[in-house]
Amino acid sequence: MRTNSFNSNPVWRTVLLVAVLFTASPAAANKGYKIFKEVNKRFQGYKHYTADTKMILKDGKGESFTRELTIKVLEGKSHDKTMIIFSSPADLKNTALLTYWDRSQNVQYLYLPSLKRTKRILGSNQSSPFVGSEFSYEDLVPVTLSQFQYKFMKTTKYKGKPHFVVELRPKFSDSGYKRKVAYVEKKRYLVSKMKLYNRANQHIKTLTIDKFKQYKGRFWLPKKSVMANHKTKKSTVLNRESVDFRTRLPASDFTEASLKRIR
Amino acid sequence: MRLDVNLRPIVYILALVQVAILWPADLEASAAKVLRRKRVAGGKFLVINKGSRHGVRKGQRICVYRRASKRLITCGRTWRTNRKRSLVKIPGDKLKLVRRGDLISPKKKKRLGRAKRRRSETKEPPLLAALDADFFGSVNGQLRFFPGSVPGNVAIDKEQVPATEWNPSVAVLPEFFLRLSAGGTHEINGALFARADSEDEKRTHADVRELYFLTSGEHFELSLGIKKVFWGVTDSTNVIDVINQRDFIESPNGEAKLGQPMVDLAVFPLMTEIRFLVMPVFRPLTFPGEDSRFNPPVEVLDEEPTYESVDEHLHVDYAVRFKKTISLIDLGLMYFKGTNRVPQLLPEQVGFEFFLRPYYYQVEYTGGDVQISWDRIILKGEVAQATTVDISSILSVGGIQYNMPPLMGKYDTILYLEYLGKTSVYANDSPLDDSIFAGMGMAFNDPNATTLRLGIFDQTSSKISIIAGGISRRFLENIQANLQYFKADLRDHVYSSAVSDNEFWRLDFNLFF
Repeated sequence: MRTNSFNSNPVWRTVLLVAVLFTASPAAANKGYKIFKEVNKRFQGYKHYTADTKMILKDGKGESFTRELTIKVLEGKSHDKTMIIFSSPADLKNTALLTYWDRSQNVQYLYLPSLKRTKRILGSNQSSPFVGSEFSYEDLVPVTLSQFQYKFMKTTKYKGKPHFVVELRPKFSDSGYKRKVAYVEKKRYLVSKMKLYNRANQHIKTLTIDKFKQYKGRFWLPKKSVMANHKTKKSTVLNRESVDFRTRLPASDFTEASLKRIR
Repeated sequence: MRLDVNLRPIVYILALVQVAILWPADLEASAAKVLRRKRVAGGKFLVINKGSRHGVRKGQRICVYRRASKRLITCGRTWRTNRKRSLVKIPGDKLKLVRRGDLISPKKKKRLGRAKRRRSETKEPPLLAALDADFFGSVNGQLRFFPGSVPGNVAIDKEQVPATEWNPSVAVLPEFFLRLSAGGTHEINGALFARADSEDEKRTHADVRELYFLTSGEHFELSLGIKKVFWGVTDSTNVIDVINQRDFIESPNGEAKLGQPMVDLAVFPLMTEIRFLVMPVFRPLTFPGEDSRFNPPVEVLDEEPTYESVDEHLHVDYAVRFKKTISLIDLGLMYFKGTNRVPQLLPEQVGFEFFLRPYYYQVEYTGGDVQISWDRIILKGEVAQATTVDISSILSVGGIQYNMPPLMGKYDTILYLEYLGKTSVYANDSPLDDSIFAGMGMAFNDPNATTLRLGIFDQTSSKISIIAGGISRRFLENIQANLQYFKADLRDHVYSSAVSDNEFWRLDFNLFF
């Protein structure tokens, strides 16, 4: 299997991944993989971008918290590098998280502005919630196509449009999910919904992705995605406020040393 | 309180002006109009009517400009031409940019290159000029409570009993930065600090934590000014973190540091970081007021220290740092030569009065740090050889960090176990020598970012132990509260009375703006 870099915003990217099922027939597995290889192509070739994102945490009782992040992504040959910089809440301002893949594991550095200190942190707790949201780290960090196994399930209609339904099974051991069921729009090969099943195979979360926009005439990014937790009734909305493909991001912006000066 | 000054429109206008200036006089004469365009073979060709009449030949490089603004749209090579039309091969999918009525002009290769560069500059405004400014920071309200109010070991001095057990204070920590991007990045960073204390006059103090000019490119970074630099990887203490002086008055545990004036040059060859530091001014350690907390029972003459170097506090210190990451391994090397940040406290007697006078000696550190991360484990260690005029000692600290799988899919717990070898150049300068540190950090991963910390130091050879813990969480959107507890049992230590307030609580409220 070719190790394809999954070139999207990390948030959307995970959402677009698939797995090959052990028990699946080779044909179903092959079709599922092919669909996601096609999905993958919708996010290739942007080289780099900067996106300002708003994360709205809703606790289900009417209260909500807003987090503002800037996400910078640098497309690489085998893996992407991602930099997440907080601008709110105020106590996390300028806190920066660098993530990339190396030798089949996540490398993460965190810069703590209050201590002016950069720490290497372990990317092993993939299933932990990201800053208290319904998104977990594995929904946000870069993933490669080969990290999942795929199984094509059926074709169905969702929101009046024909969709492929593909099942993904994570191959990495510390995933919080047993499987993910993705709804891929047939016409454009974009994932519009993803059902997430926990280790006990309970349907705990659903991710809905909305308002796709095409950039540079090639790749698609959604403007809005919502992660709803069915157990806690909490949800998190991720809104992309703006995206900039033009400003060049040099590789030197994605190093441990750059964390301190990045804004 | 974010202030964004976007110069993009100005940049855009500047770029247009430049293109207009570059616009050659003969261009107007030779310019042909794009009368029609047509998509041929995957949108790679542009059709221009009456091409050859305007001197466009086959294989010639031409450029297309917007008619009104004279902005360069695209350049390419003519592919096929006759009296009526030219087919121009345009690299990439730029066809949609060309409008009816745009102008074409034959361009010489050299000119073309320049025009292309101009165009890329207009596409990347940050290369030309962009100003970004920001002002933010926090206000800190602090309450310290000392339950065992009477210091234990006050035999030498008579009136060491503090007036009160409660110690409220307030501090402001404003920060700003100003960044100009013009052929690289130039920025000014500032972080100031000031505290007003109700009990201790000396704790009412201010400091410039950071104020420096930084210029950086892809392969270098140069800073001039006052900066805070942290070196090390371990969590209990750091033996190679020798650049900044502690702000001992602000916090006895060394988390607060005084700003250090320096010239800091870093270069990044082959994914390696090499850093050179020159520090022309030394900042001596300051002690709390005579009757205040965390002061030795004997008065420390911290404002009149003595130095080994004849240049005293103006001795030029320098340091070199090397850092490299090889997959799972983070490797660092360091060298420092100059005035040691930690003084020796030498007793002095004037009549019947006793004093302690800090003595700052010269030291040379050669050391390194290593960190190996795999799955849920990080192994980390720091070691340094410190050489002074009369002693050479090996300082070391190292241990293991273990990230537990999340509890109930939510709570992240990190466990630390570290051994502290010798941590100070001269014996007995630190109560932590030869001790074991066990720690725990827990993140609740809730929207309020609740965290819990606990740490225990236990000295193996004598009866010294320290326990410290804390809990912090966010209230509303911009208030963070932090409660800390500290208890030390330092009976066997020579400076035991320096931390005679060996049990205290500290409550901080940080209001961010």
